Amino acid sequence: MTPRFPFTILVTIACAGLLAAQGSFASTQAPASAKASVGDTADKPDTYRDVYQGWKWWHVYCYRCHGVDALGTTTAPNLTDPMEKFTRAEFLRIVRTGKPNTAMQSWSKLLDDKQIGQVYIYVRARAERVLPPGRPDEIGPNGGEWVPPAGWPNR
Amino acid sequence: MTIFARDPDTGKAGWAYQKTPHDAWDYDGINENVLVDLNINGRMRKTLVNFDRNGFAYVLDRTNGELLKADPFVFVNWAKGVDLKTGKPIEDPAKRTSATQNTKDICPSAMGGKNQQPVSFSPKTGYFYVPSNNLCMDYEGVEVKYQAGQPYVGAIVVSKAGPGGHRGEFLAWDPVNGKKVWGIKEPLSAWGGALSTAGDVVFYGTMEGWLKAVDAKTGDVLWKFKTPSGIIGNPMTYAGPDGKQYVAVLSGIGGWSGIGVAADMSLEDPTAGLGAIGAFKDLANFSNQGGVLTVFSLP
Repeated sequence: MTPRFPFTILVTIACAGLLAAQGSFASTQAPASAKASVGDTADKPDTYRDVYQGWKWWHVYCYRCHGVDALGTTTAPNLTDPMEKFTRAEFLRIVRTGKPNTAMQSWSKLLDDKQIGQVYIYVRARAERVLPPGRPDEIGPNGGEWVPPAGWPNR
Repeated sequence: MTIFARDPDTGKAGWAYQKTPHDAWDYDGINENVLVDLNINGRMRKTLVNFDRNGFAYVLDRTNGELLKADPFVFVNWAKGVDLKTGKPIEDPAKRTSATQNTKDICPSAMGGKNQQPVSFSPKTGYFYVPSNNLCMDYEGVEVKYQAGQPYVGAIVVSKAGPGGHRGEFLAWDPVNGKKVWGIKEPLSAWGGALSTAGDVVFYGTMEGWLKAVDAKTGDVLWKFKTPSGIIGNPMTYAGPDGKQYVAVLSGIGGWSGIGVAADMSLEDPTAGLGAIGAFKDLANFSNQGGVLTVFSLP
């Protein structure tokens, strides 16, 4: 696990622990209130969690071409550009299968549909200018967690 | 993260010592092992000394693997110390990384209290001369999958300067007492190797490109010269065919800390270069790319 720069930055890092079960992008069609009654946290929609997870996947995979904060690089487009808007279905299809004749490959071996959905909601939050650049856990009030605007993303 | 003693004829392990069990910080324990004989607690021991990336200077009996000393040579907060009886670090649980949170301000960073730039031991002073880093990091583990040709880095890491704001220190270390004798703080990391000489002059290079000659006993800087690029190489000395003594050093910025300049990377992402851009975003203000051998002769 020794980085041998500058020849490659493809290094592995041992990760302690496994990801805990995460937010519920897959269940976004169900109203958040359907999960109520267990406690305060269960009452909250999981938008923050999905955006945070999407930010995370973005910044281990996508950002190398599409840039930090989804702002693009010389290799791949800025996905916060209003011209680059996608429907969720289009986004999932492109990420799953790739885009012919471009550098955009299929990510289906690395990201499952739930994760791609989280990347989508992150990119959408950036594109719709509701999420500032930076870590979602540090750009909210008093440097804390980002708070999604009421009603966003109109689930 | 293990130091192995093996029989060179058979390959059989004689002993092994694991420095960072269940490493959750990317402290790759591959720094050099230096074999010196030291008087530890009144007894001469055949020792092996290792300045690990995890920030501890280890002294082991190389004949049997007994851990004799383990002292922090840089600012360390992932562990409070090392239990000499069990050999295990006394971890601070708040600094163990995971894939469920961003663990902040872990010291040293994955770049190490020292990276692969070698130390030098002077039998005359009994000190080790250690090019060290003063770096800390934020580290968030991420569970990633492998696909050939794609990034495979399961962490979001940002390195940054440690306490005091300087990013390195060249220091003299007393291995018997486990203490720093003197130190020269460097604005950037001390990412080049050390050379100690019988004349009690020690040489080292800096990421700005300075080659410095310092007094082995006091750390007073006796002479310095600015080479064309940052030094991550090792000063060396030799006698020429003309009978003169020479000191030479390669300059040319690179390595993990210098990746931003060496690979001409963009600087907007502090996690790029596995966190190196976070700590060394300003490196281009101090060093160009380069690749020059500079040789000096002694009068």
